[in-house]
Amino acid sequence: MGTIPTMHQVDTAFLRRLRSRDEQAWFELWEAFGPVVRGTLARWGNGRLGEETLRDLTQDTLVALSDSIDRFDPQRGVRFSTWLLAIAKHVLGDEMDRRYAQKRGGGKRGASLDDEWMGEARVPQPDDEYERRVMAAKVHAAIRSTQKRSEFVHFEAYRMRVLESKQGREIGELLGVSEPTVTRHCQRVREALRTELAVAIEQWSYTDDERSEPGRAGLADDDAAFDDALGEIWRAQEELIARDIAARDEARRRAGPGGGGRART
Amino acid sequence: MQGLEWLIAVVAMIAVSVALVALGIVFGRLGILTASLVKHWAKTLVLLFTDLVRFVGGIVVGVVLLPVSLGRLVIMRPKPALEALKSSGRETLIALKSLCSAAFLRPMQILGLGALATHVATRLRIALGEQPETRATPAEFVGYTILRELARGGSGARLFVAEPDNKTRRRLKFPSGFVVIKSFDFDDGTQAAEMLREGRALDAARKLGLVLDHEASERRFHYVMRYYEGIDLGRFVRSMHEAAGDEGLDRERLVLVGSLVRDIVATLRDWHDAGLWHKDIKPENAIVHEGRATLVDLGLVTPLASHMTLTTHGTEYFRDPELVRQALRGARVSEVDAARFDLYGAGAVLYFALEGTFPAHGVLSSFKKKSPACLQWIARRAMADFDRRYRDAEEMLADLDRALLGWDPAAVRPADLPSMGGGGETETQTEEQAFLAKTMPKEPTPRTDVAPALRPPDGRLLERPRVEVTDWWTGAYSVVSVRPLPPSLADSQRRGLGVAVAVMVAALGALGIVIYIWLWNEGIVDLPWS
Repeated sequence: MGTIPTMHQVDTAFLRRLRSRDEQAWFELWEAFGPVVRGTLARWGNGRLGEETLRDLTQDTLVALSDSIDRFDPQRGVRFSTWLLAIAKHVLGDEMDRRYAQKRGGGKRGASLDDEWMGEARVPQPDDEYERRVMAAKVHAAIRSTQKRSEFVHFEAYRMRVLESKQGREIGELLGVSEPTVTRHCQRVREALRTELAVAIEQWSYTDDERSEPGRAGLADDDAAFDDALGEIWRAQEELIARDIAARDEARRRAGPGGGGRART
Repeated sequence: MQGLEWLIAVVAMIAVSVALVALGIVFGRLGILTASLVKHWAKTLVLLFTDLVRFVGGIVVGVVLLPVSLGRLVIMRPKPALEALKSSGRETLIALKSLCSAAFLRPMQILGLGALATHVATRLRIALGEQPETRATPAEFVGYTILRELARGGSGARLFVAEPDNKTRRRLKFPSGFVVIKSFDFDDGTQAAEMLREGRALDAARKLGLVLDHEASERRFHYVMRYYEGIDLGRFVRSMHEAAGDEGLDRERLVLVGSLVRDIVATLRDWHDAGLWHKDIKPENAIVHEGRATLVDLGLVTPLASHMTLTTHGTEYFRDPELVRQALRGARVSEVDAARFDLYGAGAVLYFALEGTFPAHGVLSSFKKKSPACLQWIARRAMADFDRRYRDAEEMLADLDRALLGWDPAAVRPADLPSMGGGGETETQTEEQAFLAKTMPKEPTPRTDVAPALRPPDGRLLERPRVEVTDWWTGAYSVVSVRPLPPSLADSQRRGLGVAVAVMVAALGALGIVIYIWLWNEGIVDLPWS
């Protein structure tokens, strides 16, 4: 049984890193939420946005995020997910305006990123799937971070237990260790996961509601419930991203020959 | 029948069988030779006909231009008249050269004296005051016949499949097969940065002995490598998964794709030993040819000791996230163990081989299809965090060998892998590897001359070092292994009529002796000395 500690200093520290243009911080942000933004833009685009456009818009979102980070005030009570969504929507709206302007024969309208969309008035309403994706992205970031910190064998033992639902004895047989050793490996990873999850949640949550999400998802309960909840989110996130990728591949196939492969960048 | 008669009958049957087989080989080879000759003659006859047409055309145009020139002179336009006269002269010269070619060069080529004919032609051109062809026109390469153009790669270079002529083959010591020419031309839109990068790659490829030939001029440079006619690993694996369905690959296919990934890792081991980093490991960059996977696309190859800043080039999902992180940090190549970035790519390729799709979540990607735990383990270990993955390709290779050796990866546990300190066979394997290391050349050798192996190639070959006799007369042999073989092997593999004819003559001789003994035994003939 564990609880998520409140670590307000973490989110401000991360914001500070973002504001000081710390490349690592931006990379972490992108690694965690890039797929969410891309998936969301793709859903909004409803198949009308090509792969290149999606990639550009996702990058534009990051640039817009970078532009507005200095003006972002976490004390306003806006959820991190909403903030991210607002920026993505703004970028998409700008792209739509540009397309309409082009149709009319005009040039590109200059983008303006005012602080207005940080307030409640123009906040776009995120749907459940979007919120699930953001939450799963935070959990996934925590898993990634734990994987980095853990011994490879320990983490694999935990993965087999949680994701592949293997019994301790079976895992022990595969790894050539005893069942109690497997249990110890899993316990170590679980503890590390709880810590990393607390960091990730605090890092990317700006309201109490966001901070309480892991608890509501079962991640604050006893070990068995924690494992179940984590496994479920892990699998769900994988499925979401797999669906995004399948949609992208389908779009590439529709685009014709040469569009099927992943391009070197 | 008595004992001696039985013996004679058995020996006679053996001799007849051997003679028949040798005869078959001789006729087969003669057939191939005849077909090559017919093809050569047909080609030369077409050229002869072209020469004759050119001769007739040149004479006609030359003659027609004479009255034109005269007419212009009559109407007091001396300059155009002179131009027409010059044109007439040029056409006549072309006609004469074509006649010369048809009367002299082509017959020589028909007689198999092509090299002499080319030499004479060159001398003739010089004698006629022409410059010999030193620089090829775009998409033409001296010594090569372009067969077709391939799709452009990521670097924007033009890729041509070509056939070297006999002279070039001799120069390159490349007796058979086709080549691929990678050409960079400013006139084709190549950028200076791309040229520079490719120049680096060329150096690297030369170091590995992968480049057969290269040439640079002011506007263009190209290099030549062996062409592998096959399909890329991406297509190969996808087709296997389509055939296998959602259940995943069966044991035989698993061993096969595992062996192909092993080929890639073995190549990486040699490249890393040579101080090079491929940087773009992905299924599309490996060609499956005769049951082996060959790593291609040298566009991003970088020396591991390079002082250049890391760049994020590579392919999504097969590129190590750590590479991006380090590049963002501004790290130099020499400051990181860049060879491990390739190992991530190799792990991602193994994941792709087992799943039929790429690892969207890197090391956190789940395996949806049924595949052996040890292969999943190897893929994850290769994609693990930078400090937790395999130390080098050798370590990954040892794990792959262990997984594939017994032809049943499902029977191997992760605990049995050498990297986990498991497996009683480790010592034996080390002995085998020591034997291979002792008998094979140590320096990195090109994969251009790897002998075709039976499928699946590697696991079985490593069970026991296999010795192949290369010369029965001298007793020379080489060890057949998964390691790249020395370039000289290709020469020794050249097939001719000599051995087959010798076997046939020996068999016929033996048959003659047997018949003679039989006749003597029957009392029909006497022994020469009796």
